[in-house]
Amino acid sequence: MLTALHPAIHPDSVLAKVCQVCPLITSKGQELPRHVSLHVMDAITQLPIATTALLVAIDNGNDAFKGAIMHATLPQLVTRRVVTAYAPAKTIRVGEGITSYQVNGSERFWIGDEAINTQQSEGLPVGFTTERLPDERFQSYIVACLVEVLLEAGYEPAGYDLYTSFGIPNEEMTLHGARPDVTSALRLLHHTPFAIERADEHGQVTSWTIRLVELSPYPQSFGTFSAWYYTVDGKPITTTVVRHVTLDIGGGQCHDCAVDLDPRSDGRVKLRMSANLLGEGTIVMARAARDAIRAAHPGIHLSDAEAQQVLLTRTVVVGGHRLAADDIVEEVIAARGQHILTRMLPLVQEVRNFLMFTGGGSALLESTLREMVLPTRATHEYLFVPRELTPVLNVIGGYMLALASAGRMGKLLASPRHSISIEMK
Amino acid sequence: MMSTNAISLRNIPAEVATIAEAIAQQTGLSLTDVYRLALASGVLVEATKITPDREGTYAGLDGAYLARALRRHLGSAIDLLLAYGEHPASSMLAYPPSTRVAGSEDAPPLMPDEEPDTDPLFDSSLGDDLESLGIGLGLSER
Repeated sequence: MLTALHPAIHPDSVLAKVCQVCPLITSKGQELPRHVSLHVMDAITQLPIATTALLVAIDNGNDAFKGAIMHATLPQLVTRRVVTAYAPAKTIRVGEGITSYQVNGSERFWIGDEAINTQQSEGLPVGFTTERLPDERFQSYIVACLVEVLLEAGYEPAGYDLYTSFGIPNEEMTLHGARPDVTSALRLLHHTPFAIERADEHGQVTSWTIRLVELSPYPQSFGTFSAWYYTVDGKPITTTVVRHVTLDIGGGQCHDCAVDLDPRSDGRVKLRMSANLLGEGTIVMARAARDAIRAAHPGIHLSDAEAQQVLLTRTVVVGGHRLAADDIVEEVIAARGQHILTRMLPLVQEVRNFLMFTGGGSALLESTLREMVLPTRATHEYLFVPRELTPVLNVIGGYMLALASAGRMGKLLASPRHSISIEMK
Repeated sequence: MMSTNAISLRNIPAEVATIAEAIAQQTGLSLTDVYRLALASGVLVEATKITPDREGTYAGLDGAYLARALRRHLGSAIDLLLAYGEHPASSMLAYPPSTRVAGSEDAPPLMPDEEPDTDPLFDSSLGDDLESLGIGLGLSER
């Protein structure tokens, strides 16, 4: 069913298509490409080797991994969010088990919600790419997440070469690509063959081999802008917006990403982007919630990931029971939310900006944010990304960025032509 | 399902072990992983050497399936053979000089089997914008 679009969303944009759950078909009637044929430098021989790589977008968020890939057979972009949590797997004696992974002979481990719900959940590094990727558990976690993305999109257990766009904090990018130290950290994943064994909840083991033959870093918040600004064909929309500011309230950090759209005499629009770290993201509220819970129940020690889940689910497990934590969550939003909002205030007050709010935190703070923008702005001057898309819009745009960079490096392979009609009601 | 039976491998030639150790050192993989990858590639190659059975399969694998699986494993080997003129069909593979890799007379073409992109699947606008913003460079390009 098609839903009415916000006036600030162009009907041809990728954002419009995903909002309306439309098939992602180009103007030539083709599904968005899934594969790129390219030559990559072999890590061992240092010679170019030919390969066909599957396109995947990653948004390496502090609170969660987000991945996007075209479905194996359907013209849909499939997204998957996996909470940043890791726990060594225990043997489940009775009942349904928990999906576990083993990467290149590592210990067996659980990820995401399953890891959080155990007593053994281990914190994975939070912060910048250089602080996170050297941790081997984190590398294992990322490739396990990629297996989940492939499964979700209907791919069979097999060996896959992946061409990935990789979302990193905005401030880690320069005009010449990712900072050198960030590039070095990303090389820990580049070309490394990962052999993954996945044991599902019934104990069924499947084997996967994943190799990231290319990583193309992009500033996370630029993904959201891309989904708003480009069509499925990769063309810019026609817009009167000349200054677009994305306010991305993520789990670990809060960023702004300002893009100036400068129309030129030849009809093209020149883009200029600046991005800043505004401060900590929802982790500020999560840690306050953790402290409040600990004050009320001294025996409960929540990890950062567990505390973020309290914000999202508004529940906490006490004495074996899952209890509502609405009061605590409302209190910390009221008390600590202001800390985040204060940092954004200058951008909100600058009424020449078009504002786009995204990230998991924008949903938590939406009512307060609306109170801030409503008095000074018309509907078409700001946009709250629909709640169900806030956690994944960066990575949806990231897929478009993967297409663009892969198309420059190799040859995108055509997906089937589609003949489809959409009934407008 | 992975086999859990441990198999002891004996009589591995010393030069093979030396190459495996060099690969492990250069790539950061464990020696076990290097041997595991080599075994996975090797059994597929060995499957091509035996006569197809009555069902026409190679060690139980359908020919088309085996060919697809092998392509991934042999792509780099074929490139190397072409680069050094050791490919059995080298004489049949004549490419115009303009498609050769710079710096190597006998090097393979970058994309021998592809036609020029006259009808791109994806508009270049986004790629051009990324280039001007310093985004979209892969690690291999740096």
